[in-house]
Amino acid sequence: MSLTDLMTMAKTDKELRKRIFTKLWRAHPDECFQCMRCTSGCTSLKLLELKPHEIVLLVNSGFIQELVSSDIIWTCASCLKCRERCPQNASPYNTILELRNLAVEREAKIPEAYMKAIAQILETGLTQPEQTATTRDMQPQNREKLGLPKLPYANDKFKTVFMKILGG
Amino acid sequence: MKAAVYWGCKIPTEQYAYEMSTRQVLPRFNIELVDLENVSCCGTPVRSVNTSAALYLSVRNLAIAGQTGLDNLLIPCNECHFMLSEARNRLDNDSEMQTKIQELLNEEGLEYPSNIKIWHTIDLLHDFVNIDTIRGKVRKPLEGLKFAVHPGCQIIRPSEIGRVDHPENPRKLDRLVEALGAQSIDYSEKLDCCGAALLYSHLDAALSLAGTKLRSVQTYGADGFVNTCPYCHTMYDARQKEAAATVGSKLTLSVVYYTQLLGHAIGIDHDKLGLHLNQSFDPERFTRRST
Amino acid sequence: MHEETFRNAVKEAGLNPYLLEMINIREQDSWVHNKQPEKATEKAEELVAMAVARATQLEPLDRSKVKANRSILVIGGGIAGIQTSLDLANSGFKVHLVEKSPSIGGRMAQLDKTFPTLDCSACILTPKMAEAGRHSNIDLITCAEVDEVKGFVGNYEARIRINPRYVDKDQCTGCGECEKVCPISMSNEFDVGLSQRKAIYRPFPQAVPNVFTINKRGIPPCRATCPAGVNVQGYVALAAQGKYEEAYELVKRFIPFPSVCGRVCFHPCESECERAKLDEPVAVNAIKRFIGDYGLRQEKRNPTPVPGKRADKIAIIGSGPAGLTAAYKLAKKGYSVTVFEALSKLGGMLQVGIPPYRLPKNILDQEIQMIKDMGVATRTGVTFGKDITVDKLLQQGYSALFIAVGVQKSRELAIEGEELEGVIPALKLLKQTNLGERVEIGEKVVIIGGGNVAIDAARTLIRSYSRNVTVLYRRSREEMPAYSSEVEEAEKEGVKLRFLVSPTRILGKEGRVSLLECVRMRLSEPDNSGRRRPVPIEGSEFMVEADTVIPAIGQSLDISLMPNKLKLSRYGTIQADPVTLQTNLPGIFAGGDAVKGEATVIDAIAQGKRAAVSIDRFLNDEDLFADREERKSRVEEIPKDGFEKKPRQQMPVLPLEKRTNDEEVELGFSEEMVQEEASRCLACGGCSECLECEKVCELENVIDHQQEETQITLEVGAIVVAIGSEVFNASLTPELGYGLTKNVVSNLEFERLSNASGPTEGKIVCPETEKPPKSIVFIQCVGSRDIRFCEYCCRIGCMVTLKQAILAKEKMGDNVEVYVCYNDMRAFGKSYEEFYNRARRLGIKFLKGLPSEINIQKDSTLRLDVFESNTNKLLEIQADLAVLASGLVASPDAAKLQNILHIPRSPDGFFLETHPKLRPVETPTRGIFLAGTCQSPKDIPDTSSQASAAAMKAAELLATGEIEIEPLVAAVDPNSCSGCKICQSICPYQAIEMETQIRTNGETPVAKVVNAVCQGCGACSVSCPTGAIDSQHYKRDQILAQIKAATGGK
Repeated sequence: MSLTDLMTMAKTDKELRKRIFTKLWRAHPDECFQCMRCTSGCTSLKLLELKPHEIVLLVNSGFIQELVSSDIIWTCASCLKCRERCPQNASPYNTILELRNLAVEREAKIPEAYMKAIAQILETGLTQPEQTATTRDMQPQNREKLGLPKLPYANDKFKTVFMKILGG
Repeated sequence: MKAAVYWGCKIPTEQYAYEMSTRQVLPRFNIELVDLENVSCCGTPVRSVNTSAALYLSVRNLAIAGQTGLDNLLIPCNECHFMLSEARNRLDNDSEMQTKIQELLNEEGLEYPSNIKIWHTIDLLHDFVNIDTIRGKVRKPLEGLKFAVHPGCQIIRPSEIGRVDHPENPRKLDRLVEALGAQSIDYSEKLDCCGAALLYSHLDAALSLAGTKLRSVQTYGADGFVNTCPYCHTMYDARQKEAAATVGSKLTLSVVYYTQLLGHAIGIDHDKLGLHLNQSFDPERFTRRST
Repeated sequence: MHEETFRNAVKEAGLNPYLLEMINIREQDSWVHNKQPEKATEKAEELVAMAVARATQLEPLDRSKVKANRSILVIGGGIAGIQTSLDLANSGFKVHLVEKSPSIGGRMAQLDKTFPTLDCSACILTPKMAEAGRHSNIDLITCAEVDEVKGFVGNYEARIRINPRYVDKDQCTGCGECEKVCPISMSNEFDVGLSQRKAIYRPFPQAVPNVFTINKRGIPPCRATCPAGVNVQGYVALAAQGKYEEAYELVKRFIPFPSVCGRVCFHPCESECERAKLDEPVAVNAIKRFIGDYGLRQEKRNPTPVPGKRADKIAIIGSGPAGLTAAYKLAKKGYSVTVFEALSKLGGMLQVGIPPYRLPKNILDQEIQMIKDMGVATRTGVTFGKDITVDKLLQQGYSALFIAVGVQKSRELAIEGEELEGVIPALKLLKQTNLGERVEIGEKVVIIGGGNVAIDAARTLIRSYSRNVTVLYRRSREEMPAYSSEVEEAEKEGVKLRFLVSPTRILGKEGRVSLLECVRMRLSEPDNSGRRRPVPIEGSEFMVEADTVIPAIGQSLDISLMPNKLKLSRYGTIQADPVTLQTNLPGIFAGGDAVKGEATVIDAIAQGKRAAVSIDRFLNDEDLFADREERKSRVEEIPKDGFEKKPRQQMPVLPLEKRTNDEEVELGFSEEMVQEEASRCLACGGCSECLECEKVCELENVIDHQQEETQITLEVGAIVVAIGSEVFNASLTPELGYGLTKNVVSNLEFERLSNASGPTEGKIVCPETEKPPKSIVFIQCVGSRDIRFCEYCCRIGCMVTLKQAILAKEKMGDNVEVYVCYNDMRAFGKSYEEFYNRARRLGIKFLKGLPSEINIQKDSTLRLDVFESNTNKLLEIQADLAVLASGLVASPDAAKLQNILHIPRSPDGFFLETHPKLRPVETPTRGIFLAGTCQSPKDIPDTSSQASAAAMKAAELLATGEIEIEPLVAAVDPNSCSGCKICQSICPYQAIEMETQIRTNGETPVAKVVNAVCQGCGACSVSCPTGAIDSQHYKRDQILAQIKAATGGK
């Protein structure tokens, strides 16, 4: 592939394309024929200008770096409509997830909420500590008061294994 | 039926009402729930960081459920249900990945269970318990009340991995609501997303999605809004006021979990169902019989 | 193909063409091993060596010839089948054109205009249809399907099943009078469900053949369930049309008691009513009651006609429903019938068992009078077994007897105290009360039993005797055999019910009942009747105050009155054959409760009918058993699409405070209610067999409701398959709203909407609102190019959409906005691109991008978001009507024909041609050709071309009447054949026959190959234990030589 985007002088990246394609397993961005069903129905299009068809075509063409460093890949709402309705196996949803993975790896660019969740998983196994709930008349409540059993937490062995795979 | 239950993170650390009402309601239909120890996050937030690590988390929880020796696993959270179903689909069809994940499981002495059946609250009630049984248990029929149901995205899509209801025309939650004597309204935004996934990165967009949907539902004259996902519920219940402000409308919908609605109809006390925790819930409007 | 070329070259050089061995170095070597040229060369050398070795062993072979039948079977009468048939017929071949539906014409007949010229589809098709219909070389067989094909090229034998049309197609003039009177409306498949047609119908006015057809789906559940086989759907349909007189006549064809049954029947028809699966069953009985009462008023003016009298005298003993029904049926046939009745009034249990508040006496008496008016003689006060006997009756000249005396003896409780004064069997109470006699009843009445007699007794008592009435039943409410509605009414009227209680002793004072001792019961496991068996709870005895005890625990036959020679069953009933009802005495028949034990009114009526048929046959010396049961099967699949929920009409009842006398409790439906209720019928069976069509048909015997399917066998030389395809079912993509709103239509539905002969006469409207759309959006690629459904391109969607968009624009001009959402616009045919240009110039908006979903708005308009990729804009389209370019899918019949014809299909389900370029209309089975969309989706121009091509191919094959057969078949050496038949059992083509050979040691069977059938597969050759059978041109020696060369002679 030797395409050059003359507006940005960006070149296509075969290696990244290959990596994404391998990780996508059964999803195939190269099957996309740009029917627009994904973008027509995208939850995040109107508000955040996410265009799944564009992402799929860019990934298939190899213009991946610009996506990895963009904010747009973080606007997907995970509604899965694009994956359900794709007439081919392109699955924009999974393509976007892999782009996010690459962004974390390459740019260490990761919205804070995800970081917090992962830190918490390493702590207790769950994404957040027990929250205080409030009744409509502003009474604070917790599991014990509500008569719910104690929270189960993951053991330490789990944390080691999780760290291992998280590190790749 | 005896079923293992995997609550995930959101329900047991925050959405107590769903847990309470589920624990109250299911035994009335002869379903005994067995809690799991040592479980962890299903992988939802991790998948954006590392899809393999997320897959491992999902499978690990399946493995722990498998250790109980039970044939059935209830996953009341839509997100968790999707993650574990997707993991099951991947491992059943990708032996290479199964080997890789099994190696990690070995470190904790766990094993990938190939045949535990995954249920969600909706299909457990609709397909296993069945509508007639539910109808037969109703003591306070919700006659005259109109509800909009929101099945949520993750339990109906993607159909290729096998989901709880039809991806484009889900009717199970409607039928479950109708079994209680209420009317379930048809509205064109039924399949739309609540926006929860954008809550921490794009607050306004998330609130706008939730608000737009509720605003539309309100124009159909709904008395309440029924859902079964802790993420969706947060958007529509706790954040309803903020959503209303974002879309510039007054929103007054009572948002409830289906298990709460069912519990109410079969005569369980509201406090036991956690209905006092629903911020948007209006008991008077909820129980009135419109004429 | 190339082999053929080289064979010809060898032949031209003067050699036998089978002395050729060809190796394929290109495909098997050069292409596959192009990265290892040296090794490839080595392989090529080896291949050549092998070929040379084999070539030395080859033997000259000659092609043989078989005679071929010069007629052709064309399967499918769409444009492809018509074109093929005409081409062949005009070339002098005999054609059998078999079409499944009642008319030829296929899809093209449904279309409005055709692209790209916009000529009227019907205008160019109907002349061809007519020509095919009258061509002397075309044998048109409609309503027919191919069931089996045997034989081989030139000599096929096809078994055709001709489904009944129920109309004689040679005599029907197509006048359409029958259609006008038919009460059954069904979805019109020609209009793709956008309109309704009658059960007797002609698909469209230009149909060929231009005749009517009756659509029967089978026996509807109501009729199939009715013990008397009453045509329920028929009278309900007629009632819905206000044809009460016709409905009455229809009921009376089956039973003499419409008004009685309409009141007291337990209506199993309603329990089986299919409508219950949608909302609630149709109130069949109330409708029948209305019809019956209506008919009774008419009957006074027009009594049932009776044919001339016949000499045979028939005696009927018992005037209950069984006896009177038999009398009615036999009187209708002209017999002299005399009914003997023991009581003073006629009617049996109808008269004395059923209380007047359920069945008013005047209604019963009128229906009985109607039977008497037919000339039936009656004699009351005559007890069988006392006043008359079988022998006496026979002596008096009666040729046949029907014993229907019912069960008159009340069963006893068999407990202490039963002889006390105040113990009165329920039947006695009912009989005397109904005959106007007063029975002595006390203050506190207890009834024992849970059946209808118990409840009738209770309700009679509470009206005329005592307010303190309690019914004791030994099981629980669920097990009660009485009708639940009757039980509920009884409770409302003040009857008390106690369950799980059984009497053990009746205590008396001064010879009169004073107390009843009872025991509590519990239910254990189910008994033979499926009900849970009651078991007494020890020590739970208790006393009930009572001065009158009414046992209502059933009745039995009074055996003492039966003649000795009459055989009885072990249940104490008369033994009669279940089919004929004949007893052990010839000519003596028996039926009703006397045979069945206590059963229902409708069961008794059914027995009366059965007996009448038997007696008629008996007197005419006919077989009593033949053809007694209904041969048509009950309808299984009942479509419910298009029916909206509508509640059942509720029976108005007499207010409780007025229920003090004999006044009827159920008041009956008004005419309006009957209309509403009858219109709820789903017409499960299609045609209801009301026979109104027969009445209006001007010709005799043209309509034949008894017609049955027939089979014919055709001998043909070749077969052309032209069964077409189906439109993709867009309800599989509900996100586009198809099936959820009528305002989203398929492109085929749009054809009907814009067709001048369609349901809207060509006016384009939104089906939901019936208003013209202000904007129409066309969505391309629905179900096509989509791995979830059909991976292939439908090849017609783009052009169909262009045509329909142009039609909409031309018809409605500036009053409509037309949008086309497309993926790729494919305008590839001759003049197609120009057609696309024309569409653009008309102002049709083309948007590159497909919507993800269509949202149905509250006002039933449609809203869809489309990301238009050329402008990079998300566009919202507001549309009144959406038209889906639904693709084409293989016909479901293709799978069936694949097995019948042994021809392959590609993974998409369409039939597979032998070669896409070189043999595009041939199948691998010689003599079977393909035409039209059964091979792959295609438009009309391509279909016509392919149809002519298929005709040419068939003509080429059969032109000389002889066919050359390849010699590459198996051959038997008869001297080494042991006659073991293994080859015969293994041959997949049934190409091996056994023949007898005379040898020195006697006759022996040897195998023989039918050359024309053999495909040369070699299966026989490898299975032959003696090596007697071998494939010519692939003989053992020839192959071994090759192997030896390959292994270097080792």
